[in-house]
Amino acid sequence: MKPFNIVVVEDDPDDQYLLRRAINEYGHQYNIQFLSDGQEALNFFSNEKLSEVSLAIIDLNIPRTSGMKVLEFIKQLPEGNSIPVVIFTTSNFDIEIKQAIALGAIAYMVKPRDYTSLKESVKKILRYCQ
Amino acid sequence: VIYHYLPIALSLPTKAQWEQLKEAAFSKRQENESQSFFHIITDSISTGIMVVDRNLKIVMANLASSAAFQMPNKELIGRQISDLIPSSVKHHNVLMNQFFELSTDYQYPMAKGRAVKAVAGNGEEIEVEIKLSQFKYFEQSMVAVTVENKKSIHNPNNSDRLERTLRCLASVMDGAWEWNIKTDEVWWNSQHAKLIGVNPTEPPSFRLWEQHLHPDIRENVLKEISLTIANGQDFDLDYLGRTENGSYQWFRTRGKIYYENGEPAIMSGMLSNINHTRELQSELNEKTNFLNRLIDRSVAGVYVFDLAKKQNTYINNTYSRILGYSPSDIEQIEDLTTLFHADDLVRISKHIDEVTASPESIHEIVYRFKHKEGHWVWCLSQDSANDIDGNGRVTSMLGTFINITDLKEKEQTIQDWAASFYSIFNQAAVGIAQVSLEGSFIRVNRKLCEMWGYSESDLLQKTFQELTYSDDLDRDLENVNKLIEGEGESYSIEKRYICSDGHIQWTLLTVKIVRDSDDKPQHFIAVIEDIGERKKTEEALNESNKALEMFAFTASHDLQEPLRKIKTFSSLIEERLSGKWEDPDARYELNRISDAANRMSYMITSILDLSRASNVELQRKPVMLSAIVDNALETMSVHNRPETLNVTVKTDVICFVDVEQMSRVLVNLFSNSIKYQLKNINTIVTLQGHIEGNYTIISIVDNGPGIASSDTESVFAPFKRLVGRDISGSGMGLSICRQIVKRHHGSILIRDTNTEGLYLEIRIPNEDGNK
Repeated sequence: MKPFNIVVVEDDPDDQYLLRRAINEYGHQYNIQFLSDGQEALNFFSNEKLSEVSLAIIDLNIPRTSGMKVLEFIKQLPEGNSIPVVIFTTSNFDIEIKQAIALGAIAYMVKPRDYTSLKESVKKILRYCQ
Repeated sequence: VIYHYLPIALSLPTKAQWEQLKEAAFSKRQENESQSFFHIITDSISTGIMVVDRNLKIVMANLASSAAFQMPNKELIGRQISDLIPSSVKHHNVLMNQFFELSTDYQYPMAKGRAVKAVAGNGEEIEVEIKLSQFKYFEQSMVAVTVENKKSIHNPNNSDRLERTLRCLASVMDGAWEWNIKTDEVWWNSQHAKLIGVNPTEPPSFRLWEQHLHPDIRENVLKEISLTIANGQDFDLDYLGRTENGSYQWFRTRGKIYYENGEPAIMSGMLSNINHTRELQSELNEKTNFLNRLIDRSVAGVYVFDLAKKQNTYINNTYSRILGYSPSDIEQIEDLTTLFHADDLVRISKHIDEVTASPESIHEIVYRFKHKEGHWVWCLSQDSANDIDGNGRVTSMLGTFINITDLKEKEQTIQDWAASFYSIFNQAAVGIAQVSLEGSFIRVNRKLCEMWGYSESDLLQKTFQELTYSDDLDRDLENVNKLIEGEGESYSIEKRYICSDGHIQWTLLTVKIVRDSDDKPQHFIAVIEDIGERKKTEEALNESNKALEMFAFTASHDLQEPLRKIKTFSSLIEERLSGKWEDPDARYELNRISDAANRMSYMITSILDLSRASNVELQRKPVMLSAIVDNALETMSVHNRPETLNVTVKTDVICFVDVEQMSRVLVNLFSNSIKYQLKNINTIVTLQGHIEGNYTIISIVDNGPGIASSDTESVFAPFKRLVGRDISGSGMGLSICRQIVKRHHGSILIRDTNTEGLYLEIRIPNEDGNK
């Protein structure tokens, strides 16, 4: 079985913890790699074999280059189109969401106010990606 | 004497005479002697005497008449008088005939002889002067004729004088006439005949002249003449008489009475056509009257000032009207100069010197003269020389003057105003300039010079275009052109000028266009207020507002983050400990954390809302109230609108609003109505709209508890909550509502009514208040 590699671009350790915890609720077969700033993310996506990335979760508000830039970068790569990208953000401004969808994001998750709703969102995304 | 003896001299012809002679036969000798004596006497007289009978036959002639006609006495007697004075001498033949035909009463001799042409014995034509008189001799009319040879009665000197007189008479247009009062015999010359329009060949007569009188005045004229004669006066009479061409004109006849034996005998005179003179006279009278009226009714006082007497020798009515003095008042003033204002005396004296120095020109002066009632009258006078004596010195001045007291007072008022305006202009705390239509400064006040750091003279060399900061020039020029083209009278803009030291100054410029009576633009008045400080404050305020907004946004955004964590981790703990609660208070305490976090989150969201309500760009358009209500209810339904809410629009109205923003107002208000509905009944909200002038007024009434009158204003303050924690809410709802309405330039307030429930009123103008 092909390993399920999830790349998370997120600088907040709390959110990293909560995401990892929510994903692990659905099994430990998921490899989760955290990138904590935009530049690191751009470097990662330019060097790695993108075909091995099963899902990218990107926070829009990250240090050094925004999440939107990272999304744009991925989508302009030849293999980028095949990677499902989910936006993970506190902002619920229509304009950013619309822009992200237009750039090729498959969904967006508003950072949760409670763990239960986060778990629900993660569950939906994982099901979609498998 | 001669006539007295004539009966004796002519004793032959009649029967009665014979009878008389018979009776006196005894004294025949005496008679012969008497006859001889008579002949001696008559022959000794140098004047020719003839007696003519009724048949115009000469019955007696003396020696002198023989001499005059150069014919022996015997030949003369028995001849027809017409042999001597031929009938071809028409005038005198007529005269003779006329004379004989006259009534017997007519027994006066001709006062003066007539010169006639006669035929002498040798057939020569001679000139003699004859005089006729009539008398009765034994019931028979006889005519005595005295004859004088003209050559003898007129010596060469006399003849010259006569010729001269005739020439003089002919040279004027006047007619000469003579009237024998006793015989009624009339003579006039041909000029006279011509003047009165009769043929010169027609024998003159009083009646003929009488017919020439205008019928209307005829009686009066005749009366006048008889009166003159009766009084023995010379007369001089103007009358209207008929002329040659039948029209009536003015004549003047003057006459003198000549007396004989103390009785009026002859009247001689001259007749002139004075129509032209009369016309001139009447024209002159009219003109004189007109001039008098003009002088007396003129706005100008007129006077003649005698320099030596220092008195006015003439004043017109207007003079009296202006200064109060009647002509008799003026006569009594000994020295007119005492009535001049003391401050003007030196100038007046100089003025008089000027008039006397150049008398031919007009000199003007303004001075004060004391009115009869004591007050001062300002006079503007023009004087010139009136009389100049033999030495060329001016002795009196002719002056005209007008009362300019009113003007002087107005002038003074204007000067006072001008002075006070100038001081206001110069001491104003704002810059003021008069600017030409082209833009150059015509006049600037001190403040403007100070503001821009230019001297007045420097500034007057400049145009506003030169001093305007380039970015603001087009906008200003556009406004200027609108004013010139007649769009409006003034404008007000904020603009920048460049000062002399190069720094840029913000000003509030108000420009008003000044037009003449024909509405033609003349210049601008610009009021320039230094708003540099205000602009700085405004900019600082704007920056601070932006910073505050940014702060509100980031603060609320960043504050949300830890809150979310608190809530998420609380829920995580709750889940983790599910079924493992050993201490029942632990769950309660965890709930308290989560609850507080929720409330704080809601408040932060509200702050964010308020900040957005203040800054979002409004999209105003006309929309029906019901549509806004629908939009609000739809928004609410997304967030689980309670079934218990019942909204009615009772009277729909059109509003000029941003639909989204207004919907938020209604959502907030409806939410409040639901929130504060304490009774367990449906919430009923009723809206009514109407137009009042330029405003749309929306009233919103609910069936809730209402708000106490003491709180109707304070509820609009942010974070103000009137109820306890059991009712959720941030206390920002009404603040947001007021902010949104304010941004529509409207107002929102809670009406204090006695009825139960809330009564809220929103007033929104129907056009953009920014205009």
